[in-house]
Amino acid sequence: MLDEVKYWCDQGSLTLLVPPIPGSPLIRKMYLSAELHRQVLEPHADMDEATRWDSLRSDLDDYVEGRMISVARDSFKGGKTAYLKRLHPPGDEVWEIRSRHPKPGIRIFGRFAEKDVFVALQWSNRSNLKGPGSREWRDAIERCKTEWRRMFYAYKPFTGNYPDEYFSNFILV
Amino acid sequence: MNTSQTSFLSDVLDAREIPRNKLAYFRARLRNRLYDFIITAFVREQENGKLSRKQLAERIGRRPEQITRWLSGPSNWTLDTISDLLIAMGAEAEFALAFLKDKVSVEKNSGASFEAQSVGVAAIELLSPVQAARSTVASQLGLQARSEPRKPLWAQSLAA
Repeated sequence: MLDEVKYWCDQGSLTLLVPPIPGSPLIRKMYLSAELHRQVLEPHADMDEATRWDSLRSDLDDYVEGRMISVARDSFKGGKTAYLKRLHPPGDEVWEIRSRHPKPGIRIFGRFAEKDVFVALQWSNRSNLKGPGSREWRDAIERCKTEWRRMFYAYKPFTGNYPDEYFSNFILV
Repeated sequence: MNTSQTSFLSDVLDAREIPRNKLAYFRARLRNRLYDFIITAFVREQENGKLSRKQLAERIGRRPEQITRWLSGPSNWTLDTISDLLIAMGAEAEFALAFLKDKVSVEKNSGASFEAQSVGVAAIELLSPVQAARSTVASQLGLQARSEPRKPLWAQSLAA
């Protein structure tokens, strides 16, 4: 699986996220799709957008630096404000990273390639997703799965005992 | 240090006025690091059976739902939240500054990670008299605990 990830990195379709502060610990890995690379790492002409995306970048760096993250107890209930949540249905293995502050909230969708290795593929403004179970949510999940299949058609996303086998250093909420 | 790091930091270190987006990055970074610092300590206390979420809530007169929101993320934390969470654990924070310019020059000169030489952004000082707990927390934070609790100022003056 990681060979495939490396292949897409070489092709420029995935980028390993490295925090901009020298000496930052690299404990977990996050790969960004080309679309997320543009949003997170490239300059924005609009300063409000740049400000929002740099806040989000800090949230993603937090993951990479192995800092404590909060994780929703399950796909159905709780964890409304958790950092990371596996979406329903759990078998799809589509995860959501929430960047809640400042408004508007942004959601990053992706899958785990292995423990502590997250492939971030899609994003959406939270307000565009509407309520839980909406068509917009289902579409976001489907887009993420489609993008995964396009890149890694032969490989299933990582699956394991929830949540210990997916990442280190977390608190369930 | 890669070119993306150089460009990101030059916007911060060399600018007469730091761009708003970089201010936002570092605000979020500080919030996230404080969250990491405090929640890591809480999880350790919880795992050692010293403090449950319920006890944490009771100690500072909060509802358990409020504690769960605070444990979920730092987006609505205030300085008072930080103080309340720390004192509920019988702890207070100690601080140290790390200048970004130093991090850049350390990396440039030696290629070594600054992290190893860093004193850390903050150290936690448990008020509990049990020195063993202090040592455990300190070692897990990569710091060295003082062998004796700090003397109050009046005692230091007397010793002098």
